[in-house]
Amino acid sequence: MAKIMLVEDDRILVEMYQAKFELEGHDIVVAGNGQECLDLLNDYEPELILLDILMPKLNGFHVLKEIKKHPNLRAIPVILLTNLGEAEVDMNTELARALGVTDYLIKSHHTPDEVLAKAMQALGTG
Amino acid sequence: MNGGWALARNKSGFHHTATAPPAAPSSSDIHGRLQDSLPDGLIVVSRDNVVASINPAAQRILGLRPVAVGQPIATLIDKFAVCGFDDAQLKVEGNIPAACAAAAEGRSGRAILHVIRDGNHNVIEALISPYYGRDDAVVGSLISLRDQTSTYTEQDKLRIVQESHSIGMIMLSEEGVVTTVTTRFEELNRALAGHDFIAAVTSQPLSNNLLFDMDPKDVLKLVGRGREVTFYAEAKFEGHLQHLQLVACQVQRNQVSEGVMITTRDVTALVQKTIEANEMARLASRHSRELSSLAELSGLIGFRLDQIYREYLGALMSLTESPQASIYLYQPQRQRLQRAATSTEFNEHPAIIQLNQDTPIAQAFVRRKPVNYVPSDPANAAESILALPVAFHSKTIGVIVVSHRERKYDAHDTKLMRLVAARLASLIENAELYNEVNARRERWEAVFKFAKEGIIIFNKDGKVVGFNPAASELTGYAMNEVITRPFTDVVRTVSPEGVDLSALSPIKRVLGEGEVVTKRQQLIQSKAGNTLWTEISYSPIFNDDDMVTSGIAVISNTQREREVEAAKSDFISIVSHELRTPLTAIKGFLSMLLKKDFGDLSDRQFHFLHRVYQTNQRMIGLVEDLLDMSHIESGKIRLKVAPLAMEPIISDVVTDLAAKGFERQIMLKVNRKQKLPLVLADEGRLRQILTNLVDNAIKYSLPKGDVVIDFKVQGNELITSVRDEGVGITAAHIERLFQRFGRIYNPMSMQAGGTGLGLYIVKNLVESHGGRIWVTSREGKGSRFSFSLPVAQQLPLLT
Repeated sequence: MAKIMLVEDDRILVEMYQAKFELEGHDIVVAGNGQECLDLLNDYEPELILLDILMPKLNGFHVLKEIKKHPNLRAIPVILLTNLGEAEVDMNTELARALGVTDYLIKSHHTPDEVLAKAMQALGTG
Repeated sequence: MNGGWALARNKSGFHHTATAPPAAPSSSDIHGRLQDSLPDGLIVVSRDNVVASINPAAQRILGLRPVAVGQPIATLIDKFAVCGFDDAQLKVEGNIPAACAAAAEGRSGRAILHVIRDGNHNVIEALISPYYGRDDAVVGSLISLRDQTSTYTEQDKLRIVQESHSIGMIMLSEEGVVTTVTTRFEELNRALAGHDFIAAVTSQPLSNNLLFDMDPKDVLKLVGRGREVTFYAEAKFEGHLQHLQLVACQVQRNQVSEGVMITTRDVTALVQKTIEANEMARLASRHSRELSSLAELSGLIGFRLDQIYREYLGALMSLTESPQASIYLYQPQRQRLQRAATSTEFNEHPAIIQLNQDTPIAQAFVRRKPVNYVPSDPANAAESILALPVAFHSKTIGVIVVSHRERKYDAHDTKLMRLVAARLASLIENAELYNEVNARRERWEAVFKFAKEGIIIFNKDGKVVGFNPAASELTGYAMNEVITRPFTDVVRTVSPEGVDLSALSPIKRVLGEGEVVTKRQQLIQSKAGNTLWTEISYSPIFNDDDMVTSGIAVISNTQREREVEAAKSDFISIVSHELRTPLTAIKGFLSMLLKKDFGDLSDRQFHFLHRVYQTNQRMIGLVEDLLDMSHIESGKIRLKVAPLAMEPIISDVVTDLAAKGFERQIMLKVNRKQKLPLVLADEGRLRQILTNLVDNAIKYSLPKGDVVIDFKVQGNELITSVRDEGVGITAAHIERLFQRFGRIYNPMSMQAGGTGLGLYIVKNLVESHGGRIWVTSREGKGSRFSFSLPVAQQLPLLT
């Protein structure tokens, strides 16, 4: 059982990932955008954050920077989930790695199972 | 009277010649002495023609012996050799005995005696007159002799001069009657002697043969006023044309006119000489005219054919002294001669001549020879025509023709025409060549001027020498600002960041090595500082010796294209991204259903859902390819090139695809004999390249075939090949294989699935690594795709 925060603005994807993770018995907290994520993180400390990049209000990179700046949150592994194109991904991967992201996944390349496997890997339980 | 004669005869001695008449002794004595003393010879002849007395002067003059008295005068003359001295000869003009007989009848006469003695020729005038007796009856005749040698000689000389020299004389009386005429022309002498001068020269036969340059009446009028008049006559005497110079003047004695003297001088030879000299001068002047005409033609250089024709017509007319000249040109397509230029005003030379026409002009062309036409009947108002072909090398291009009503053409004319024709031929040829070149130049100029692309020509030093309006528009420079400026100043190439890239300009290579550089994407900065994306191609310009003399750059404005491309790329990127999200949802939910996370499925349900899943996967692949393509085309792909070991990547790819191969009963084999060198590549992209090629190989293999991957190091490249034993590719399809959506041309691939972008992307990825990709294939046997990648040097500088 792990406490996982899913930051995703697409409701259908939220439902999909949530279904998979809850099926596996994980505790999922969902944030609909970057700002909501940061707000929630004030009271809630997840073990893993699944973070979308393109979101309204505050995008994933900003959120990531904030998390990594925060001494209490800095240690939480973050897996970036995106549907950006390959080229953007190329640029963003470097940025993401520089920002200390644990993994970087292209959503359409991976089934929820695979995302779950990556998450377990990041939690050191996979 | 007889007695008288006898007395005298008896008394006469050598020195005493008696005068016969009976006279008083005293007076007889006087007469005798008178006779003896007379310087003139005196012979008294009796009525019966016997010499009665001969005085000493006569004997001396005639050179007679004293015995001469008493014999008939005829004997004296006939037997001169007997009665004269041995060495003397006598010739007589006239008949002395007859004259004596006439004198005895009371008539006087005259004779000339020539006595030739001791080499001297004495001319003696003999005047024969009656000898009157006391009763005035004629008793005999007297012959008085006077030595006129000197006078006669002078007259003879004059006569000889007149006969044999050119000088003659005509004397007219006060009344205008010819009293003396001594010219060398007997016809003239005869016709004039004793006649009225004017009447004689104005009537037959002289009027036929004599032509004066002045009316003789006017001459005499002028002479009557005391003038000396020189005039000339052309005469036809003795069948020859003669020229006379006549000088007329008044003969005056004591201020009284005694008539007119006309000296004549035969100046035929002189006139002939003058005519000859004039003729020579005429010829010389003609030749000099010809030479100068020809020289003028030689100096005539030009490309305006109408001007050339005008000059040549003038030359033809003056050289051949013809009033009409024309130039004809051959029109091959219509098989006829067309008059290109003419001096004729009434179409004496027709405007069109068919080659089969029987005219000198057509003949000259067809036979390629000069044709000199002389009309058979000159009275028929026909013209002489001289026509020559105008030929350049072996090509006859036309005819020049001259014509004249009043003269015939000769070899000299032909020669002159030949010179003109030769000159004209080369001029026409040159002009045609020039016009052709000019037309070509004009066409190119139009291309240059109206081309949408900027065209800049630069010389060996890289300085601009040609600049078209489009180039001006692209660079912002005016034509006059750029000529002789360095090309790199005019076409300022910059990086997107604004860094001057002129040092990278390929024009040094273009000019130095003759390299052709095509379609280089280049940002340029205009005069005003605006930047513009362009595509520039460079090419050297070679001379006939294959030396680079200059270069040309063709610049097209690709700014809009790029903007459109960028917009397209952005569009694809956005659309793809937006597509990805629902595809992700489909993929995710399906995968959970298929994993039976939320309950069991019937076999068919599972099967159909699996089909949906597979289809969705294809859609995801399609979106990925589209994204890659748009990134390739917008240049957004950035390679993270590093020295890479090939082996683990190959092994990953084979592992990933082995299942797919297994499904199709296809064996994947890696054929590696030795350790491979590191290559310089982006790991992700290399994986993508290999995956694509191996996946393709599996897709197009026939079941139970092998897909073999092998390697070869060649130079500083590693060549990787993926070989299948599939259907192969036809030659026609190979061409399109690496193009965008090339697959759609291959019916085989339709069933294999795929986007048709795979090989296009692979090719672009390989090339952005600095490698190449190619394919060899045999239909029905399989294909072999190979690509090269640069080998990393042993001590790579990249870290």
